[in-house]
Amino acid sequence: MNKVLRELIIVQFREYWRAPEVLFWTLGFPIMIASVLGLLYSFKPAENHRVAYIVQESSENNRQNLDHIKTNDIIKSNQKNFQNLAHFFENLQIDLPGKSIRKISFEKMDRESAEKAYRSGKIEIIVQLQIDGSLQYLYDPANERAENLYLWIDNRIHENSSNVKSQVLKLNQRGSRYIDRLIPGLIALGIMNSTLWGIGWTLIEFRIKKFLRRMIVTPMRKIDFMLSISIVRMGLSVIEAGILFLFARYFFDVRLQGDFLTFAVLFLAGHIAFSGLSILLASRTNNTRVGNGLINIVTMPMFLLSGVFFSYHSFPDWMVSIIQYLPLTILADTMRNVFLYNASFMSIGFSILYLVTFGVILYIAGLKYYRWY
Amino acid sequence: MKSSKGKPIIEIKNVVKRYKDQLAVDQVSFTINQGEYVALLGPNGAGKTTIVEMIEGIIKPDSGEILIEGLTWKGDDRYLKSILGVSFQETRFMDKSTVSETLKLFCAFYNIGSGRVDEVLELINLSEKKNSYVENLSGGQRQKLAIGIALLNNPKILLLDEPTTGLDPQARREIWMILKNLKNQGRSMILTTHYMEEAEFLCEKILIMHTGRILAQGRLEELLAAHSEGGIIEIRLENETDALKLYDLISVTDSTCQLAEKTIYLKSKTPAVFLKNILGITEEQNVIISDLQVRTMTLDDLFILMAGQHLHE
Ligand SMILES: Nc1ncnc2c1ncn2[C@@H]1O[C@H](COP(=O)(O)OP(=O)(O)OP(=O)(O)O)[C@@H](O)[C@H]1O
Ligand SMILES: [Mg+2]
Repeated sequence: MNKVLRELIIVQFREYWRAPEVLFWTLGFPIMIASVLGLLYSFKPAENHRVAYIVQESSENNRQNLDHIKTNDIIKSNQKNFQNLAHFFENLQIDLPGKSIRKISFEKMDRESAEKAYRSGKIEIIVQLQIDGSLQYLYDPANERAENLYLWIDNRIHENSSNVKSQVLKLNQRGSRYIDRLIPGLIALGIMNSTLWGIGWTLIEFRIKKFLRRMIVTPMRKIDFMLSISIVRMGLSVIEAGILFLFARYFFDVRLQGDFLTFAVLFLAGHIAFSGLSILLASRTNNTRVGNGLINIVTMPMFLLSGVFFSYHSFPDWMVSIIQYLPLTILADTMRNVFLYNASFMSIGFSILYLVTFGVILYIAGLKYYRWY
Repeated sequence: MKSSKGKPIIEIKNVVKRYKDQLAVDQVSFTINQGEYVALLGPNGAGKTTIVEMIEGIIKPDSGEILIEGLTWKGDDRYLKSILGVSFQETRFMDKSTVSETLKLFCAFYNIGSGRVDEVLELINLSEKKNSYVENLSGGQRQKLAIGIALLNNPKILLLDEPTTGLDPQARREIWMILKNLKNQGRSMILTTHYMEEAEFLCEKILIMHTGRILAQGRLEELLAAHSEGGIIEIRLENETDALKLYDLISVTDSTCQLAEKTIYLKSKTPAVFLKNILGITEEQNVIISDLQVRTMTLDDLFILMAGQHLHE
């Protein structure tokens, strides 16, 4: 590392080190979000909700039995109940105490796809119609919304037919809890926020102070300056993610299932994507309010849409097709795949390439329009 | 640094810079020779900063040419940056860095060993503050730090934009002494200022600027000599109506006379004759003079005669 770069990095770190309150707001905030959300699990805006229901078949290879089941009156009536209920629920606005569910739609699935949908957050509860005519609910009881869904569905079913037995099965094994989905998403969100606000503000502040132009009339190379900003921010992001991860690990036993190196490369790719974006956003303005607005307008939609706090699959399809390609969505989804499902490096290659390309293009565009004075 | 006084080091040729509807610099040309200290003297908005920043390569002129050692800002940037020492009208450094850390950072930019830090601290007389955070420095100390940074690379050309504005007279003097002591090394300097005393004290050549144009330039003595045969007469009247009345009468015969509020300035080769006449006129017109001075010309007088306003307004 050359001397200029090293000095630039030291100077910036020192500013944080010597102003602990700045450091607190940089690092403390995401942890506050994680703890509040992690502990309460409850903050989620109202959304449409899908419930998977499974009609259990007693023995997959016994046709005889199957026929027998189909003649079983109780099951038949329950199945009918389900269909009726599904129809009934479809366009219904409901008011649950938590006001967190707007509409429930029922979808019939087989066990495998129901579990897959559950893991990816598309559904939060599975209702299984047992062979003996009873119901089984599978969800994470710590997820307040799933709990509400359960209570509500169960009430409706008992209003219709009081003799249906039901049973709750906890689906809270590691990896399928809300917190397991939340933490990788929060790490992704942390990279975005830390980079956009951190780099964006630093650049705008340097420009306002005219420190930027003071440096640029020396033979300092611009690339060293930009690299130093990016490296300092990377360092802070790593500390931030580390603290968040330790917190999640200690309090919620969240673990990284995937390979650490894969995670690290993804982290770097995310950092590059958002560094590029922040340099473009901060490339011209020398007004903090404009900077504020620009950063907000970019971060807010991603904050809400990218599936960090709740799944984006309940949005209309046309929106999902856009949301999927937001950098935060890509980063959060891939982060989750690495965290929860041990995704291999090869399998996330596209995401990494996408993020890096995105970052580099914006970086170049940002530098082209950059106002140094 | 080899001293070869007299060789042009900065050449400004017909430079124009326009901001939307504001002509900030209007067809300005001048030359600065190696070893010369030059003052750009003018009131707020005269275009001083714009010129200096065009020389620094920060602002691009709309037309005209700027040559530094015969080179331009297209292609020779790194070399030019290495021979310039710059201090802006206003810069804030990293708040939580100390004085010597700040200097050290800039040493790295110029690829100079950090041994230079102590030398410069000595030069700008700021050694006792070397471990203070920049945010805790006084205005004068900050200004000294800014000059210190400008001096780090031992520049051939110093470009200082209002280095003493806002400082108390003592701090101003201290900076003058620092700058004066740097003079004997063949170094050139452009200094912008509102203060004539500063220009007189530090610079052998003075450019007087007003509304984007250079009104006069030359050595101080030349400037004054060209206009100072005889003396300056300053007549203050009781009220503005009287002033206007008298001004109208005088300006018929002397178009160079100037009116500023209740005071009329004019230059006369024969003050005694003029005074005799003027006293006659005032009596006749029933105009009351509250103050009257006759003195030799100063730079401020020169400025008022040329621009119709005080430097400090
Ligand atoms: N970025 C800009 N946009 C529009 N107008 C500008 C800009 N910078 C300067 N000006 C205008 O150009 C003129 C010259 O400004 P300049 O800063 O060069 O004056 P100055 O002589 O340095 O004044 P001061 O003594 O107040 O520093 C002023 O009228 C100013 O309003
Ligand atoms: Mg100025």
